[in-house]
Amino acid sequence: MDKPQYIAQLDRNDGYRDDHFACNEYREITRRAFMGRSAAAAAGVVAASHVLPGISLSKAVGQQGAQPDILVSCFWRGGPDLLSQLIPYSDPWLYAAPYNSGAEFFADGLRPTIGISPPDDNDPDLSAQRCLHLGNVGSDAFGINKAYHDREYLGVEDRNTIFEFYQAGEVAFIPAAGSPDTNRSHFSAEALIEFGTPNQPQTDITGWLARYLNIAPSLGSPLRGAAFSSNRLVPKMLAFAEKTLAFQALSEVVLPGNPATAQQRSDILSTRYAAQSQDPLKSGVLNAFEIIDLLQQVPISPHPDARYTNSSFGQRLLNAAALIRGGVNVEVVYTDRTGWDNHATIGTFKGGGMYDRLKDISQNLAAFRVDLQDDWHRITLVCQGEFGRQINENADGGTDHGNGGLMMLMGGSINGGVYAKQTLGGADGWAGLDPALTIDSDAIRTTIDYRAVYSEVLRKRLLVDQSVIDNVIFKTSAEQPPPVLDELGVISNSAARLSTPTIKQTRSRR
Amino acid sequence: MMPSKVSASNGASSRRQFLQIPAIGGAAGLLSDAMSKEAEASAPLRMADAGYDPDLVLLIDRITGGFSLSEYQYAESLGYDAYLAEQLNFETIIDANDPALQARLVDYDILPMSALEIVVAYNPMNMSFIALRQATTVQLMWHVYAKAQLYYRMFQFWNQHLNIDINSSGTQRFILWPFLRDKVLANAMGTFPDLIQASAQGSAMLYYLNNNTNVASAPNENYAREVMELHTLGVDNGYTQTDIEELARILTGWSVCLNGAGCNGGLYEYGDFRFISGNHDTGNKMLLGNFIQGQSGASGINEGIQAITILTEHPNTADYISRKLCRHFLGGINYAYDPPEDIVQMVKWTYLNSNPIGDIRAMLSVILQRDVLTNASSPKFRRPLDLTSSSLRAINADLFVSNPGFLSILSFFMDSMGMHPNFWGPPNGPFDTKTWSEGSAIPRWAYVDALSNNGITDVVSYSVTNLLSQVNATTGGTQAQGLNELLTGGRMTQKEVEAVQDFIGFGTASESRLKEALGLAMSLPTYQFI
Repeated sequence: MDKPQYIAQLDRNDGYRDDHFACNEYREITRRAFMGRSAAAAAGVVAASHVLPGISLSKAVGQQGAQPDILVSCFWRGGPDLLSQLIPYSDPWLYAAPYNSGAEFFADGLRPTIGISPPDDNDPDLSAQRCLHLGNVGSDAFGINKAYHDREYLGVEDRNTIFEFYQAGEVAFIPAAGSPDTNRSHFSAEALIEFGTPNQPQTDITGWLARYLNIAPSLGSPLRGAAFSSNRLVPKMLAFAEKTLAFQALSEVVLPGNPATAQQRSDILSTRYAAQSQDPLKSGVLNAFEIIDLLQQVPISPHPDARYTNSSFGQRLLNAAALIRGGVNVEVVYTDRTGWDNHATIGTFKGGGMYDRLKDISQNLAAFRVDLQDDWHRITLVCQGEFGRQINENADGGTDHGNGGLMMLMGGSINGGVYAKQTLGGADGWAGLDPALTIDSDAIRTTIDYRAVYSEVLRKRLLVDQSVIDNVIFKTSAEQPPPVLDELGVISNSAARLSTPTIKQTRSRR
Repeated sequence: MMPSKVSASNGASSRRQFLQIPAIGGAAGLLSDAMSKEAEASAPLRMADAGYDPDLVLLIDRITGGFSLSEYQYAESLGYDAYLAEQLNFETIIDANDPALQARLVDYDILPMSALEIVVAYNPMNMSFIALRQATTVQLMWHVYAKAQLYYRMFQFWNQHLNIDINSSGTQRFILWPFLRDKVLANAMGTFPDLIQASAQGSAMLYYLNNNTNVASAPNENYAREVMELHTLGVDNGYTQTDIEELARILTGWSVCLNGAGCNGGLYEYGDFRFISGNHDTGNKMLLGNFIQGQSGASGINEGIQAITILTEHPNTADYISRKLCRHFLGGINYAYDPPEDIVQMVKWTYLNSNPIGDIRAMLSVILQRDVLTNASSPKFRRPLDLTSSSLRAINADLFVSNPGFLSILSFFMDSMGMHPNFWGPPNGPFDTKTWSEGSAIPRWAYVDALSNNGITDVVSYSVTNLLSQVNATTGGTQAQGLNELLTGGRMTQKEVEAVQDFIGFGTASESRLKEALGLAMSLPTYQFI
């Protein structure tokens, strides 16, 4: 029997090649990319209007007439390692050898081969195994992997980076953030986050972002939610969202099947469905044709200064930016980046796998920001994974599943900086690698609930009433005990303050 | 074309005989109201002039994984009543009596395994997804290939009624399959009380709904609530929060052996149900007005058995289950497919008066007899699992999964359409409402297009020309009507058939053109409904 085609057809540009050492669960749930000749959009079923009776979205006080932001949600699927990205380099446990938690003993310290060293201003070489200083929270100092500041792509140093925009005050990093649940299964942790009720039995099959979309007043677009998914599936956070499709590129949104006969089949289908009587199928089908017609008119013409890479992630962002610019009135955009399940050979330094993935994120999100410079005032982008990884490296130079991870925000109204809490609801500072502060002596404790971050975004930028957030979107009002959702102030209360970016487009490293 | 013309009035002679079922006051009048409503609603979709008995086509669409020519020919050879009887008395057409199905399942090695055997085989090296895939894709194989189609449909009905998300925890990958086999399938055509008693002592269920942590010192109400809300009485249908709390107390100690103390030092095997008397609340309880004597020691389990008997013999349970069965097989009006009330009442009467009570076959006999099914049913949208199985059956697909533990493209499509066996998160199970019809057109079209054009590698190539030759429809101008027969037993509208024939053209058509036409026909409105 031949090798099944879908194995050969896996997306080579994105995370799959990085999944060589991923655990089987992760490989399983990510290997869903389908590239048949009919590769096409996968839509969430339009939500039933009866799901959310009697509650309407109201504008936040003082923002009457304002338009909600476009929310761009970027999920890092696979559980990216926090300590490879943001380095709490003032935490003595990070470099202590031996590290002895009582339950675990590491003679050479937590990360003898993959650990990133403190910054050194006298050693700016990107290849050095050091981080760049990012900022302090209280007395805790954080550095960042130099991949976030690496301009090089295909041998030329001409890319923008997230670090540049961080320096411009536009990026927020939130370490030890994530789900308050400590489940370490990819699938379960993702589901708990995406259904939005991690501390409650699941009673609803709508995703939390779907619940936002279904309750927000429509701007009239036939495509309210667009999921630029690596696997072409509507993610659970958008499950049962109204007028939502999944695809990788706008050019895919066509009638499935042979392009040569598409027009003929399209005529037949639209005629026959239009002749249907009242069934809800009819409106769904006609909406689908409306989307197909509309997206074919959206130009793919990025801003000349936007330098995306050729990676799948970069190309999906390029398409997402085109959609946002294209006048379609899309309200929610989802995308993801896979490849983080690094149980072996994580590769945190230049040339390594983790480094390259971070560079991919950095260069392409920076390109996205440059591309959308005229729209950036109405965009809020939030990145997160399902969990972070264990504090120690394992015998294969990788890391296993943990808990607290990294969230990152960009957008027109972000108060740039590092936000960190010692404990849920506690003082500002780092969660800590002291074994007494970790979960099971091996995982960073989540000290900032991802819902706190999104609640702030929802209220300040998507103009959602707190009561709707509490009762409908995250349903925290039903949670006992109530969750700790501190407002971090990561979103500026003032109107969008950014204009054209003042980032130099090219700059030599030295 | 099919040789045996059956007049539309063929079934009319017995059309009123269904009232021989224990009479319900005024049933005839109620039914005729329902009939006129349903006739109006179904009119645009039915075209019964292709030589197929529309009643038999309807029966096949409702009780199997979907219409296929071979199923129709077999059913026709028996006749409606005898075919239905054989499906109801499924024991003669399963296991060794269904060698074709068995041949397709040889690579599914978990099928006879216990939870312990599964965990031993598939826990090492984190290969649990093989167990997961086998437990879920075998269900599709049943729906496509089994002789005992109604039996497996009833399995799926109860599986969804007692929904457990196999992804809710890693443990479910090992313990769910024995639950599906020994609790759900084993009782799929038995009695409803037996099914719920079995489920209540099912490790996968207790684990999924947290009853393994329901102990006297710290009750967990999750399973107690769902067993009333979802499994028996129905939501807000005659119980109070106090009843939930009392039932939770009654069920304290109903647990699962997974490791360590839960297995009592090896006396129990991994995945076993276990009553832990030390965790049981021995006080007296009240449930729905019934006094339940608290019991200690091993006999504490009897309280729970008694409670579930009370629940499953309750008239509100009979009403809820009868309504759900009627909704599934008959459909109905409004968004929720509210089924005809008179039929619901007949089925409920049957539930309460059958011996033993809650006899599933007796209820199905009422719903599926020709007069009821043909007069009281209304169009139903094919849910994604049904679209998947019916399309595979219609093209006589040779579905191969060389290693059933690995992901198949069919799984991708079922995911993209929104319904994959045991991938539904919450315990309520997939909707049986019009929800599915609202916005899923593009992924459905993508699926049927990929299938018909050989874009699904799990399906060994099929020949549309060979299919059409089975209905003598290979010559120019006849192919669309042939597709109509193959896919729907002649249900497509005249305009749909004409449009597909226009697409094919009227001369000789290539195989690839005919395959596209097949995908087109499966994309048209009629095929979305049964």
